[in-house]
Amino acid sequence: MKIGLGHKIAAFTSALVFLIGAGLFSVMVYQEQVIIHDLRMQETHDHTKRISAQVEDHLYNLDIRELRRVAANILQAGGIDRLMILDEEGRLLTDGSDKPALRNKVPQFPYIQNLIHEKNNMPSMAMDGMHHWTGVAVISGDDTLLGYVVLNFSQARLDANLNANLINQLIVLIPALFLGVLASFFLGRKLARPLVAVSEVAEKIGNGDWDAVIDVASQDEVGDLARSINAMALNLSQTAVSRDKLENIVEEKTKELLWHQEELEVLVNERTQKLEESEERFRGFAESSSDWFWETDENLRTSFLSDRFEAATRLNASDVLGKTRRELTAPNALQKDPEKWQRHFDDLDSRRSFRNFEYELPAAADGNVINVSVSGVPVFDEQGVFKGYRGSGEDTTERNVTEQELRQSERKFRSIVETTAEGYWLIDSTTKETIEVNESLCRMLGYREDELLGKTPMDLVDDENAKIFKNSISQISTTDHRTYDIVMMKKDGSPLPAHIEAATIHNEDGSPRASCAFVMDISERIKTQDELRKAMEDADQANQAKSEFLASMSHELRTPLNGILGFAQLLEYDPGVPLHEKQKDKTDQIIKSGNHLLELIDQVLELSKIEAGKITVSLENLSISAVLDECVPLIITMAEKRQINLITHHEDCADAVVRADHTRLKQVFLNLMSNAVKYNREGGTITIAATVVKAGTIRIAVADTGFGIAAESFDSLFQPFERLGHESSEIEGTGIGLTITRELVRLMGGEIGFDSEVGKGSTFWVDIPEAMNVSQSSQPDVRDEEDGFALTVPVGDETKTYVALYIEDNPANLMLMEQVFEMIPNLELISTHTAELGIELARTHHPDIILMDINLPGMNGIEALGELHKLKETRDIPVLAVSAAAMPHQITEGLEKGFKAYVTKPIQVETLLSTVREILDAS
Amino acid sequence: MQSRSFFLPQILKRAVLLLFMAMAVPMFMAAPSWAKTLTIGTISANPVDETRTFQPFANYLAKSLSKDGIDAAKVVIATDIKHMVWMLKSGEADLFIDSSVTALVVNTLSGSEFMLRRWKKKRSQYRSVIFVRADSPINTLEDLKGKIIAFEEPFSTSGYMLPALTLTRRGLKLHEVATVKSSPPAETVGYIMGYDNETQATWLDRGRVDAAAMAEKDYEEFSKTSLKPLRILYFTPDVPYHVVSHRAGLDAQLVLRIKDELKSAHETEPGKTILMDFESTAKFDDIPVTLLKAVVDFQPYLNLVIVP
Repeated sequence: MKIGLGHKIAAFTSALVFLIGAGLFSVMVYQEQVIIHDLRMQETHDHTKRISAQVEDHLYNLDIRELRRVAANILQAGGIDRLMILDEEGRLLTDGSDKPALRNKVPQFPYIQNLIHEKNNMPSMAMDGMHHWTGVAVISGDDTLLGYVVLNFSQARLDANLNANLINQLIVLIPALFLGVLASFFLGRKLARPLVAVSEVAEKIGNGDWDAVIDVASQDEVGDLARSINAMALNLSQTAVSRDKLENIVEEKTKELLWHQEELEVLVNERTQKLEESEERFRGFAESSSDWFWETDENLRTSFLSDRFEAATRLNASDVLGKTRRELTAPNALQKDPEKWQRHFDDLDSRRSFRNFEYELPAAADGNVINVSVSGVPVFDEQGVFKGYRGSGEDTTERNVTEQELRQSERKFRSIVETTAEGYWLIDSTTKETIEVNESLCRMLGYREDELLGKTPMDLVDDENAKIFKNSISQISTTDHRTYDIVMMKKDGSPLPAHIEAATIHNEDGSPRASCAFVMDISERIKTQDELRKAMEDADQANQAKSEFLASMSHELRTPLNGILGFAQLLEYDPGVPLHEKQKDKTDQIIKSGNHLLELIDQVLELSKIEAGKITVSLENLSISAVLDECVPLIITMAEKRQINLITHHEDCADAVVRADHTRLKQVFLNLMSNAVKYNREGGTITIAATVVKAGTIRIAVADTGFGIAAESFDSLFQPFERLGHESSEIEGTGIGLTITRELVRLMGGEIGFDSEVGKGSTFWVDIPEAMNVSQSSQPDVRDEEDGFALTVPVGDETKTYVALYIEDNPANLMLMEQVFEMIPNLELISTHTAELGIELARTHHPDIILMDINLPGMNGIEALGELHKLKETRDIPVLAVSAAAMPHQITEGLEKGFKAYVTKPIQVETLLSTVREILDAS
Repeated sequence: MQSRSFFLPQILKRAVLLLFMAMAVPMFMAAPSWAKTLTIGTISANPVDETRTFQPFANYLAKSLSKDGIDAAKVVIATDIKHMVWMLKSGEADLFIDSSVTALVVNTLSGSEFMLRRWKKKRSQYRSVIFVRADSPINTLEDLKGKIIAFEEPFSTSGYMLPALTLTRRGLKLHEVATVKSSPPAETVGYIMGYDNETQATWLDRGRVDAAAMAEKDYEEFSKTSLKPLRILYFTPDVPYHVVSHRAGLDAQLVLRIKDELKSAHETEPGKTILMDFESTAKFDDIPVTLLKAVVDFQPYLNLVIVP
């Protein structure tokens, strides 16, 4: 590559400028860095001393607010990353923040450790990684160490200042360097420009361009050289001019001739192309048409047939060419309609045009007769002499067949209409009059056909049903199909319930022409629907009766359970009369068994939910071992009574965690275990095993050594109330356990199954999905038995005595509540057994809370609540429902009526008391 | 309490009735006679900040009461209790919003009345704790005699008024000491203001004082970072966190309307937004009787503790 002289000069001078500038800049930056660093260190040193003086009084007084204010102000002023004020032992008093994370702790930084060790009252400085530290011990006039002040700022902050200066200087230096380089460039160009010009013109002259002139005016050596070269080029140019002029004239004339030749060729090509296009176009029309084209000579003999003829007629063109139409027509065709033929021959003889003349061609090679239709015009020459016919032909065979099929289809439709049991009804869209009916419609309505024709739909209905017809008719233009039920009127005036399917028939232009309807007599269907509705109502009533029965049963069972569980809880929790270990075990069993019975009551209630598909589960992570360990003790007593040996194998799954509902899973296991006991033989064995059957699934199998189940009973095992022949045996059961169990297992995403052999026993198993991603820290929900709770803690304001009124007709429940409340020091209980007396007590004693049973003799609890709300003296007293009416709708109703809370029996003492506490605290 | 009634002669009764009707007719025909600017006051040392906080809420309330003759709302800031009392007495302030014990003092001195509870910072009520170091020999409030307790500052409800009133109600006499090194008379409880929770906690930590008192929530924070384990000696009763009072003589109908508007403000989206911007106020509701009683029960002891 050639590098110009100008560029060389520019590059050299630029490099020189750049080197000098950069060198000077580096020296300046280094000096400045050193100075700034020293100044900063001195400033920090002084600053630390000032802060020390500023905080010494506050340190002496331990006035944290002032210390924090000073620290915050200093930090806010900037320049420092961290400021810590420490007490005499180095513990943080404040770092300027509202909530110092290290409050009262000695910050673990080597600098601070050293500062505390040295207790230096002159500021010391140190660098720790990228941070500068400075600190000082604050010492009072009597040489008492008050504390320390420690500052910290990062080297990055210092660097940032230096960098900012550096950038500012660079902002000045770079344009200066740029200007220097620019000046060098222009200087180089200026020096080199005359030499470059001389060089360029010399090169042109060398290439024959003798008109080139060097434009250099300088009065130096370069100028002299330029002027000599210009004189030499002028002499050479004058000699060459005349020869060039002659050559130019010859060249121009030659070009003119060639141009005219090319114009002519283009014109010829265009004309030829247009002719070819025209011919191609007409050939295309002929080939794309399904018709063919023909010509005859003046003797009416076929002289031309287009290519389509053979394909359309399957005849050879050679068999037709040279023949007249008469010769080509099958003889019997002429006889079929001689008049038509005669008219055609007359047209031909008269040289008239003809259109769509149809006739049969002789059979083709395949034996099929072909119907054709031809049209033609006579052709005359310029003198008017007839030259023959020219025209087109088409194959009409298929069209004729289609028309015939259409006629057959219409006959078939007519036959259907005449024979169908549904009424057929055709109505004119314009006049709305009946234009066609079938026999079935006449029979349905009791009219003759001639009586129905001409009637409008409105003539066949009463006023009310006329609206339906009007609505249907109004939709004719917008909807093609309409379906509706209507009551028509028979000729004798009796009603005809009918179902009508109507469709709109359109004209070719899309306008509606007629409405075609099929009418069905639906008297029988309506009767069936009425019967079905009545059956549904009966079923609803039965279901309502069942719900009422379940609610009643729930209430009756809960009332005695309230006594059992309540007193058992009091026995267990009463700190005044502690139980010894064995008593506590037995009480535990009473509570556990009672709670299980309560769960069972809920299960029976939920059977109805299962049937309605409304049961829900709450899935959580559960330890399979823990759940089994909870269940086995509940079943041991039952098993021991029948000397049944209980074996458990769940060591392999000791840590297994499943995803299930705790109560429901326990319910499933207890059901399978209790079945295994009940249907086992005396002295038998039950084996409970947990295994991993496949990845992500734990199988819990309960195997017994009982009677087994016959194969023919397998299918009915999970049916509700199916006890497989044990109905009359001594074994107790309802037959719903397995049904509920299966549904519960399915709801938890598991499966249930069994294997059984008569005489050997059965194994029931459930597969439960394993919980995913259970980490060590996320322990399964192992429910420890609670240690109890303090009954004796006062409620509300301990200095005040609260009064509670309990309205309850069941003496056992009353006694239970009295004993519960006796243990709370500042709560006094008054009670009564009827709502009426309770209202009176509330008026006279104005208690702080009322606990109300709902199912009371005479006025019930909800009515009593209404009365309490009406009375000025009692309307503000909070009322808590305590009831065995535990159905969800009963609880909802109670809360809607205005109970502050609703506690169901059997009561959980802890739940009851926390509810009472909440109400008293809130009121 | 017995009710009293006044009986007037029949003729005089009719004359009074006619006079009343004559005055009432033009009054009902004109615009509401009390069409005016509603003023809302509070006590603060930062009037600009407080006005900025209160004004949007005041505007919202005025707009809600536009049909009741209120055409604007103004926020007035008192520098201290005495100033606020004057404002309420002179009608310079219609409503007063502050902490419940401060409100009790102001109401007692100005005749203004408790109106509603304000759930400031979404809190309905609070209480204070009096606490000592776990290793302290102090086990009852009576043990504080001759000792020093650090309060926060004179106008802090939780840091001074509540605990001081509680001590006074227990029959203990308070004596302010100049420094932590002072010794109070043996039969009194010495107290000193730390003017800062952290200072109080630090003094207790390092044995400069024998006890400290502050809001329970603040205590929970400091007990986490305390140098020595701490022990709560006493919980004061719960009191409403913040309350609204109205001046004596404010139109009863207007008071009812203000109560209605404030109590329902949180039920609308615009109202909810305004309340949240007003120091995260969740809602206004009636002051529960038990909480009101807890505050009013301090009334007999106010003059022993509060110097307005």
